[in-house]
Amino acid sequence: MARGVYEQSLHAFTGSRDGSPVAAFSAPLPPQRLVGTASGAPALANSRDVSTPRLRLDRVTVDFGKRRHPAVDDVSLSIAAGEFVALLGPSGCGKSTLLNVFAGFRAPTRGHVYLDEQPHLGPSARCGVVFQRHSLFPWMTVVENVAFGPRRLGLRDPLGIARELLDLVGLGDVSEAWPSSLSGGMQQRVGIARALATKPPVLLMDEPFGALDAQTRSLMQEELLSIWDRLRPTVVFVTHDIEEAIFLADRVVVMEALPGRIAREIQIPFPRPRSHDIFDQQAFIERRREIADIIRVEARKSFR
Amino acid sequence: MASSTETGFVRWVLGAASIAVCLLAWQTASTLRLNLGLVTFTNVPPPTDVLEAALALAQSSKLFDHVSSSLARVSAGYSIAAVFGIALGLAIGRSRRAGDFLLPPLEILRPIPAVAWIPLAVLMFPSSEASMIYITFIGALFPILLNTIHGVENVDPRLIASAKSLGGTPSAILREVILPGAAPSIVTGLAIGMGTSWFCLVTAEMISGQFGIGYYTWESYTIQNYPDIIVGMILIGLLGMGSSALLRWVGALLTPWHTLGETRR
Repeated sequence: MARGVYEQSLHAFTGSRDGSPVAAFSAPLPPQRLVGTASGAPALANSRDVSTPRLRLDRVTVDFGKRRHPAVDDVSLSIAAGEFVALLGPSGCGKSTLLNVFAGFRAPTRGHVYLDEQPHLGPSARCGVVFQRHSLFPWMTVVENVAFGPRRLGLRDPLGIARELLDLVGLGDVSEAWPSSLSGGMQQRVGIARALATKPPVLLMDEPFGALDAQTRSLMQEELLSIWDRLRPTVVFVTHDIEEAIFLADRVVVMEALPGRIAREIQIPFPRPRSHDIFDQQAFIERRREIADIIRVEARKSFR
Repeated sequence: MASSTETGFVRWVLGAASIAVCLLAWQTASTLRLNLGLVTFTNVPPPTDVLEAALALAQSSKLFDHVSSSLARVSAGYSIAAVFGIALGLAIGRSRRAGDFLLPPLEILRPIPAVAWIPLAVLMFPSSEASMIYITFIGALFPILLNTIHGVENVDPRLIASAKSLGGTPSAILREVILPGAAPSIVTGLAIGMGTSWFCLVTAEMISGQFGIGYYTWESYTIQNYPDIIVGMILIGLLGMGSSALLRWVGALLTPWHTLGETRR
């Protein structure tokens, strides 16, 4: 049964190359079929409607016990399937900690994490992760890196899936290279391809473009949007760059530090596909100012 | 303006000339039976005698017996050390519990040089063969073990996190992430262990051997066959060098990404 499910999503995946959103990822269609195999409740997964959150934090607190304030304090957040959410805030506001909670790398001290309303207890192939600095396996070639996930899940033709994704991110020609021989931008694209190769319903990105130069960074943002547009995974994108957050996301969640809490959630109404031209629009500039003001106020508050 | 091949040639000539000068000095000192007070060449055979003795040994059947028994001992002791060292190192590096339980006795044994084990090893093992293999094992174990632990502990935690989020099971992560991640360090440990293994074997053979290069060297001294001492020394050097080269070659094969990084640097 499992194989049939994977093949289905594989076909959906292949179908994505003509540019249409993919069933396996998109919000209104039956949510991620992989979920069914993993949770053992495929019927339930398929019957969900759009309003069911894909990811949900219920009063999550993470306390390292070392400082006066918890890193994340009583945060509740719902993220819809196919939504692109940016977690924005100054360093130390707990946004990376929150991402680690989403990924299952860190269990909350208090509160609960749900993936498709099932308790999310540890890292799994249902949440792909991309880190700030690339975390490709140095001992595997580019294509082997991308094929790692599909191979572990027992999908058919892992190398084929990997090549397809490398083509998608425009790196089909370097598939046999070692990761160390690629540029920083290429390494991050391979990282994104690898995270997508297991067809995860959720893609978690921890300042993925933070270490890139400004030009590469802006190209990577457009690249990411085009990939997201084709596959429509649910994305949680951590950044401290206000413009990046507004440009990419449907919703920007602004965080405050000490303790880490959600300061404000701001919907970003710009139509898609977006290009960097929107940076000059009045609405963009207003949103940017609005968010900058919140961060300044919050920073001052926690400064006291 | 010298081309690179020309520079290479000049360097080669200089190196060869330097060796020739050394050999000539040795030959002169030996034939003149030079006595410098602090050190004397009275009983040191000249290179020509050594060459003669080497040729004689090469033609006798004894050479094969000596070399093969030394090689067999080193391969046995060293292989056991490699298996134990890597397995223990993986366990200790991965699990704090395993480390807490296994490390204390190892830490106590570690500062004892393998050569100091020889008398006890002779008492402990009924066959002198086993005692010599044990000495080479002890000699190689600690460098391999410590480098494996170091390598495992230094695997980037983000790589392990990535593997987990890609559906990696603990055993898959051990095989495909921890082991290759620690491989460069393990190879370093194996190379150091190979050197100490030969060193310990030769010493052990001098004391309790019947065949082997170390035994041959020591026997040549006791029966006053002085040129053979130097032949033995050269053989020991060649075998050690050969096994290190073999190891570097295998190591490079096993860690192609690592050697790539080095050549690029």
